[in-house]
Amino acid sequence: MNDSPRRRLLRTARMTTIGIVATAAAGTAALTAAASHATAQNGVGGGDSGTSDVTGWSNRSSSLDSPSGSSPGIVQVPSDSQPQGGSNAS
Amino acid sequence: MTTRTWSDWSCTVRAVVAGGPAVADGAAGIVRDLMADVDRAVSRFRADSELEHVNDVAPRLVPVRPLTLTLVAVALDAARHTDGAVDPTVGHHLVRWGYDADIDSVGGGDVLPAGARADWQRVVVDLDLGRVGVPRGLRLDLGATAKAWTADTAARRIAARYRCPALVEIGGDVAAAGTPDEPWSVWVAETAGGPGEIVGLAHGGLATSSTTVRRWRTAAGAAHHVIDPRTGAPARGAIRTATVWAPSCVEANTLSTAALVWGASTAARFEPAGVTARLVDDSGSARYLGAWPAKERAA
Repeated sequence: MNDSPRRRLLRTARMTTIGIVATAAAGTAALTAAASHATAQNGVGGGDSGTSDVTGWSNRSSSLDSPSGSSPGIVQVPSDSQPQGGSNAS
Repeated sequence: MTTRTWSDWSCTVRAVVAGGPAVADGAAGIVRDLMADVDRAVSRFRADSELEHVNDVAPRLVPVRPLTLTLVAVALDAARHTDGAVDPTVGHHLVRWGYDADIDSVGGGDVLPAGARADWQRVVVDLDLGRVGVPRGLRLDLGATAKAWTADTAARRIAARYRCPALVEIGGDVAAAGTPDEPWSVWVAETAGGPGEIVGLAHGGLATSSTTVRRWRTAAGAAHHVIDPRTGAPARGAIRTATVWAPSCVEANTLSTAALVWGASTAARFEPAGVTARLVDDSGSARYLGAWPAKERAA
């Protein structure tokens, strides 16, 4: 074997470089996957601007959250009723 | 009905229950505890809140508690459903216009340069690892949703804990939970104690947003707290006050805030969606949309 100290040093350096590159590539792929997953979970952090879907939001919430189904949430009461709460800007 | 009323977050807080004093005291405790938790999580006026830490170290992803994660996610949901009209990344614009402390101590300064444009789509929420990150140059402000979320959540917790209907009001954001024998009577007005009208709230939430309150002077003129994300300046739309009913107070307050940004186009957006609202324009005229009660209307 004519494996001189210089050749051994070069081989070691080459293997180290390959290891660093492979580790960096794997790390980048993992970060990309994690970021993509996080975005997919929330629908935020990228993507198109979309359009306002006030309708869909209201409809969805009405069907899920209302304890009274489709009954009106706001109704008329006698004008002399004593207020129990107040909705005003503050 | 028993009511407990106090002041916090620079506004009036009210818990009303269909029960006696002990239930009302317990209900008030639930509201107080939740408000304290939310304050620690996302207050913009506390240097030690998790939200301020996220803002200060942007663009780093920061581990946060589930409550903070939830509140940021709710704010982004509001932005998504309003096409960005209610954008939680306007925080840095509020600061540069001078709203960087409790409203009672704000005013008089210069308006700082614009900087980055608000963009809620660049906020990262990592549900798996419980982290939040905001782009460099932007700051989160959850003012349009956190108070309403607190009212919703507190009302639900009270109703579940005491098995009775509950009404929670935080600074005019009203949330009802449970099924009351009679609708809750709620006074709707531009400002607390001002002229308005009374309506019955059977369920859901009722919220009012206005450009007539939380105002201050700057070297560039008058300012208020509702920022138009498109301009980075206080909204100048044709609607000065909007009250919205929705299945939750978060949705109601999101839409009432969006109305101030959308201005003259609000009705065209709300009517096809069947949104129930009371809109007051710059002249003081009230317009009613959706299922708003037909009688007893007043500007």
